[in-house]
Amino acid sequence: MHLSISINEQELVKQCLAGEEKGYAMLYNKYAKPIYHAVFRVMGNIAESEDIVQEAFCTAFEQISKLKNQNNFEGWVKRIAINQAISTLRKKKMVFADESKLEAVADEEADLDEEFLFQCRVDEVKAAIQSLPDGYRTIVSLHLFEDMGQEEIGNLLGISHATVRSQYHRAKKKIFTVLKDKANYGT
Amino acid sequence: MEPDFLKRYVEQHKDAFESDALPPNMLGNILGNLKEREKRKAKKVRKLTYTGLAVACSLLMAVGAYLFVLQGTDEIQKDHSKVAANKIKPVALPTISKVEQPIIEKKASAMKPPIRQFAAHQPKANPYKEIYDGLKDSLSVASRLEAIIKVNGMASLSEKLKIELCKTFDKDGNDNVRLAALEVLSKFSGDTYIHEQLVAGLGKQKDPVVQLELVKIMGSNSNPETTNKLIAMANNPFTVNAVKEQVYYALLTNDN
Repeated sequence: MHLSISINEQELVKQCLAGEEKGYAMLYNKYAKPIYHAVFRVMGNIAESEDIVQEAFCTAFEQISKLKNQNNFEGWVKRIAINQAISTLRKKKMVFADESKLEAVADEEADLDEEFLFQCRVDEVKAAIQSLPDGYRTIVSLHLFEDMGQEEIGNLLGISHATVRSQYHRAKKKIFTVLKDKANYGT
Repeated sequence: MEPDFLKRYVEQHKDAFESDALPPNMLGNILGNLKEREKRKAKKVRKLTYTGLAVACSLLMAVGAYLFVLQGTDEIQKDHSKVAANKIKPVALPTISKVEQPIIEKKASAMKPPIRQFAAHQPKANPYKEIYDGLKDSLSVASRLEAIIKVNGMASLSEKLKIELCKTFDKDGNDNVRLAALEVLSKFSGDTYIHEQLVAGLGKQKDPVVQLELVKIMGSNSNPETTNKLIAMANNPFTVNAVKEQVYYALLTNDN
């Protein structure tokens, strides 16, 4: 199964290299959705996410001859799009604060309750993540949805992995607080 | 290390987290953008070729001119001895009387280039250009929204801007952009042209959110044409209930 998918992707990349519109359209239809959602989770803004995804696909199609691993088109475009999203946030003067030089903060695990979490609806969890401040939301999105490790996120955002770790725990705590408030008070 | 329940939750519900539909027409914009970039690239290559040709021509001309001047100098040097032999007779310069002096000065001042006039004819930067460019940027929703926000800050609209904004409200493919244009237009709904376009919008707009806002804005208007359009909306089976309710409310509270 995996083999056939890989061959298809290679075929589509070849079509793009030949400048065939069909190849562009099929690659877009295959991967636009997860890439758009990844960018939207970082940006939290529909119009800007739309622009970034369009720009990322254009750049990728334009430079598709530079794609080394033709079976990883999705990962490549996603990385272009996420980098673009982070630099857009930076242009908006958003600073990913590095707390490594500050006093160490006790990162006790949030008061997590697995049973409670799994009773929550996806919409509620989604809304709780979206309600986080930009910096926390970026870290949570990259770790939870893009499977990036603390080191990788730290390199991408230009902060230490210790900062990533502490901000991730704080963000998680905030998410649980929002979910619990929603469950208890309906707010 | 404690297990990360949140990560597990996300992994189990990943599809549900990404269930929202994509914004419309993104693929069209990407393909359009790609074609535009290709055109620009071709233009750049052509421009570079022309520039190369121009540089080569200039070099040829410069070398030619240099050789020509060099040849001329040789000839002058050859003739120099002959010229030096002949004494140059002093040429008597015409004397200027005191009466003629002010007339000459006046003429000289009249010959001075009209600096102020020139400055007045310098092309002025069009303050609306950025807005027009933004509104016409079919590839970027953010640019169009930004342009509309700029218009929102204006106290009055030029005729051209009115037309462009009404066009955006009427035809833009993005609901949010149309909604933003409507919000700005509602501030100038007293203007005849804008009013006409808003009334026409009652029959054209299909997005419920835009319809709802439009009915809220136009509902208080007792113009018979507006009333007819509202009745048509109420009778349209495709109008969603929330919009219908707003239409009924507008019709009931309307004086007409």
